[in-house]
Amino acid sequence: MTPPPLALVPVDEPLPWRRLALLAALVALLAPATWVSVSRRLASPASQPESPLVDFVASDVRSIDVSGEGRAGRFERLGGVWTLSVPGSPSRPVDGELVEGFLGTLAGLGRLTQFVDPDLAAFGLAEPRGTFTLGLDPEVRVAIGDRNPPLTALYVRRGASPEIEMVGSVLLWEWDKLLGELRRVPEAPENSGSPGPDR
Amino acid sequence: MRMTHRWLLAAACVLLSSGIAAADGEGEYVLDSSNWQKAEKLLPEPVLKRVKAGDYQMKVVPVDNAKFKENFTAKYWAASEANEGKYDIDPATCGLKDKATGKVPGHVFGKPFPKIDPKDPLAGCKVAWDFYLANQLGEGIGATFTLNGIDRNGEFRRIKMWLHSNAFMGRTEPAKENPENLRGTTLSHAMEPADAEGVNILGQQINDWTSQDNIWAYVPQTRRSRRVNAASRSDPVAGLDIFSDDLNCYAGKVEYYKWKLTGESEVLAPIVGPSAFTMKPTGSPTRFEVPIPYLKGGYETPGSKGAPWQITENLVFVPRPVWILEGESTDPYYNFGKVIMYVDKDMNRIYWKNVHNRAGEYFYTAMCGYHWSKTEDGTFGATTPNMVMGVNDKTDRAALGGRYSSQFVERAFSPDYFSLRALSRLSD
Repeated sequence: MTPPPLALVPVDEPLPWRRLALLAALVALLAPATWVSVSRRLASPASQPESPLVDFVASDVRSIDVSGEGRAGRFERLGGVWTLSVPGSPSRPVDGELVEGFLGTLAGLGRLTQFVDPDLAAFGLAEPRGTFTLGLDPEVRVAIGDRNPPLTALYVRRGASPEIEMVGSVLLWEWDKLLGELRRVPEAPENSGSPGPDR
Repeated sequence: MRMTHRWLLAAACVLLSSGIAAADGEGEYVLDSSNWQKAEKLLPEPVLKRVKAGDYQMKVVPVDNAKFKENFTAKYWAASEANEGKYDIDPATCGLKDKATGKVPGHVFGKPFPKIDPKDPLAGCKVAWDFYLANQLGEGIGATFTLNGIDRNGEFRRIKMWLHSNAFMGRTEPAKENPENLRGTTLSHAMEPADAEGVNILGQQINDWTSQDNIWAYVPQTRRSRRVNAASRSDPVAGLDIFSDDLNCYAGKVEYYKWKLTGESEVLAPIVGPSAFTMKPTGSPTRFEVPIPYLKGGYETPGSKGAPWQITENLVFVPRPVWILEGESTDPYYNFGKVIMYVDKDMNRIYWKNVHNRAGEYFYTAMCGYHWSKTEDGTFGATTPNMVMGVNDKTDRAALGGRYSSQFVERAFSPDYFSLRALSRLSD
């Protein structure tokens, strides 16, 4: 007894053109979907946050004005070199990697959560431990408050926004390093116009 | 006459006891919530916070720096000094380069960079290399130990396993053969509980500047060995708050991270000892045994106060000067973001590391405790990771790893022992 044919169309007969066209249309339909699905799987995990605290490109930042621990200064990108100037002291070059590290970390930081609470003091934002202003167009000012109890996240506030935002506490680590650079500059003599303490 | 004897005996006792007190207790103290301020600059902040809250009590034992350095052999220090100027760093990869050949060296005994200039932009890589090669001094090492998952209620999971490792690059004597051009290799086998039993893992680090770790896992249920991504070193081990990358506080190739030296400080270093233990000879001329006191955890100490995962016996904290190092992987599959490590300036041990996740949230601190061991004649020695206390500060849960009470040192492992064939045969 002859076994039944396995193929729908006998192999020695050409495919009818309608079936061929249908098959081609099906392939054309499925190809983009397959490509999207496969490329998504092959792609690396996203390195940029979905909801960045500050949406900016680090290389666009011309300057960073910082104040904290009763001191203030300006980091400025001059001809590819980062410098630091404080009132009453001459401007001096600083470790560019340190400033770029701060900006790189900030650019990669996403909001963990955001909320409105009039009690800013409860989050260390009534008198922030420090502020920085990014020299962008327009400028972006961020106030740095306290960390949450397990020290995992940091409360910050952008400009005069009523919202309190929570970001990873790695920002505080980077901030401390930036402030460390400021600490290295000798204190300006009195009446030199240095600002009052932030906190 | 009898009275005179009694007086003499009493006087001798007083003298002896005062002498012991001075020798044993000088400068020693127990750090706890009543005097936490003493460690204000000596512990990473999340750890100090727990001391302040009453979670940890630490026995602080000051040591003489010169004496502490004797935990390494005199040969090691001499070789380190002689290495000055011989090695360099490939700036693109952080790879170690032999200045004479421009290539990666096959064997380096002693620190490749005995002097670190903190202003050197490659100082972070250099500290990392001093650390990496010191890990390998013991050549072949093995121990059976447990991983204990612990929360506020005590132990919730226990895994028993053994880990054997063989080093090629930083060993004391060069290996007779290294057919696969490896820096090091490891083999582990899970013994308990039943759901983990028979899971074996083989790891290899190739001696080049660019390749990732080769890792294979054998799962007995499928009777297959599968290649695993190097980034899995940052996956929790069996769902516990501990990671493969906690071995020595960093277990990857130096080139896997971007390293940056960001500062210097002093920390309280967790040490078992603090003097080197003696390697006891065995029937084999290449094998030694090292008996080590067990590090009891709070969860198994009746009446212990504080966190159940703190170590209550046989661990001391020694003030040590450290470099503060940042490490970050560019591998997008690696779960850790920025890792901050505290590395002994002289002994090159990473004692503490604070780990951020990829979102920049700090979440985890590992405390890495070590011991040193030396042969009776003092010509051969090793430093070994003894325990890890991994604490997840986000979930207030922890894991203890290691705490073995004996280890072996094998100076002549056969390279065949660390092979894919061995990986599957272990569970046959």
